[in-house]
Amino acid sequence: MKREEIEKRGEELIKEFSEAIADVKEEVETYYVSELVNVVRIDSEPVQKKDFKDKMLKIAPSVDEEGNIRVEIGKWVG
Amino acid sequence: MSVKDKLEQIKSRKLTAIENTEAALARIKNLNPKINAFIELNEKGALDTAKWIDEKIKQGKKVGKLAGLIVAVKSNINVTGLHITCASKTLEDYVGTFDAAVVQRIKSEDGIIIGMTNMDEFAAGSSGETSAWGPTDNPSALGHIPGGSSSGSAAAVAVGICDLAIGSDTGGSIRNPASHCGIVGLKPTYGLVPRHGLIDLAMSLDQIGPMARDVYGCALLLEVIAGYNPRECTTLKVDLKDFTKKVGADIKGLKIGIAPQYEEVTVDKKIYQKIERAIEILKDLGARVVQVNLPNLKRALPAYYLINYVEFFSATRRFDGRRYGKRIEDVCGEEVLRRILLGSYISQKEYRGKYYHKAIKTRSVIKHETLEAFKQADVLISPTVPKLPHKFGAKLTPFEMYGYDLFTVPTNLSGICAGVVPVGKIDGIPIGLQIQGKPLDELTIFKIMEAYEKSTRELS
Repeated sequence: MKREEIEKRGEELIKEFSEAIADVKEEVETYYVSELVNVVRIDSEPVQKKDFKDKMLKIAPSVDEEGNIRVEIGKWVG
Repeated sequence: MSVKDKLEQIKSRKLTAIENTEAALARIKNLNPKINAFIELNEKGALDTAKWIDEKIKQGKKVGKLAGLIVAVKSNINVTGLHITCASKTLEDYVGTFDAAVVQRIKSEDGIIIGMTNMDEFAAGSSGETSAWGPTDNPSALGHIPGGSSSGSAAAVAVGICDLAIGSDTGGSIRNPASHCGIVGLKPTYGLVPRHGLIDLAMSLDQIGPMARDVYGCALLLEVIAGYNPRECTTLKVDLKDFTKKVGADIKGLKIGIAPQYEEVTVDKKIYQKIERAIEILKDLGARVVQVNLPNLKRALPAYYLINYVEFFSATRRFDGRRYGKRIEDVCGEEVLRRILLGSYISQKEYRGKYYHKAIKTRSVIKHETLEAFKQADVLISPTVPKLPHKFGAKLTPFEMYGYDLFTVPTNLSGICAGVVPVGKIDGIPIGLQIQGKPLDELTIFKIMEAYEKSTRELS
């Protein structure tokens, strides 16, 4: 199925979904069910995993001689 | 052989971990070409681990809770050195650089990771058909979908090529395939099991959970993977319950909640008849039935999908092909693209209020309604899916496909737990009973599942 068709049919799906919940009167929004959100970590010394960088470089699309990941410039960059 | 018996045999050296692993590998080689449950095998790693476990047992050293048991891992959970593809071409070359918290715990308890299982692409499916590696067949009803998205994990357990498996459940992805394949599965309370290392589908709904061929195995695996993880912001600091030691307790006096809406929305009425028969068995075992009301049940599905689209769109922005993998929109399948496009559309400022904010308000309604029902009942019992699995080749609209999730999404929206236990077959197709429990009350679910399993085992 083409992208345009997925979008067109998808918008119909969203319309159907939104109609099914249109008459909900609730005002409270639930983003996460757990109220105890632990957002602060205890400060500690950073741990450097010796082989982690090598593992990441192995799966990178392209790497230069100095061990930097070589990426294509985004199409949106003028 | 039950999971408990096998574990005892391994610990007492009647069966070695090597023998168990070799038998599993032989079965995989024989059956996987037909079932397509595994994407990648960890043959050498599994044999090395098995050898090490046997050595520890031989020397009389202490071994872990999963000593020598074969565990399969869904392909959206990180394991060092294995391909974590999410069954998508996007990540076909992605090799795990670390172990997910649950994988660390399985390894530290001497479980043997046998390989990565097939799944719906990025877990965005309910049938097991959307994998870039092709669909998984249902070993319990060949030619029918196994359910999804943890299709390979469920099929692998059902066909006996692993002892245990882990899956992920965002809107029913453990329970739906557990039901279709005739195995036991559990979606834990949100925050009970670490999500660290799980590739998100929708982060406010995702939970990793256990799958096994019996209740003991399921409880054992949950015991291993559950618990606080300081690396996460949604993890729960709770006392871990000793599930396996308590599952055998009786269920006399437990209140089972049944909502009239469950029967109304069940498409295949034969499924509901099976559920009613299971309820009769539970009543004979001493449980009491109470009526509850869930008038907003039908609103759960639209709210769930609107939230899912937005969170999935957000989660996929990292797959731009720059540091690893390929750009997701360039290579993904139709359902993944649909969710990305619709998530992007809903996330636009002018539509957020109408769609996303309305959906998270509806989530509050579903959560409140479900928790209210638990004031009258200890658990809620329903079918797992409202219809029988379709055959491969059948063309379903997205809406028809989403319909499989009708009974399972309220659990995730409410953040509660739910288990599935097989209760028989219709025309050779397994049917699973869904038991939803209060937040952090997995133990009651295990008790009911164990009581049912034991009584039907005795009957047969």
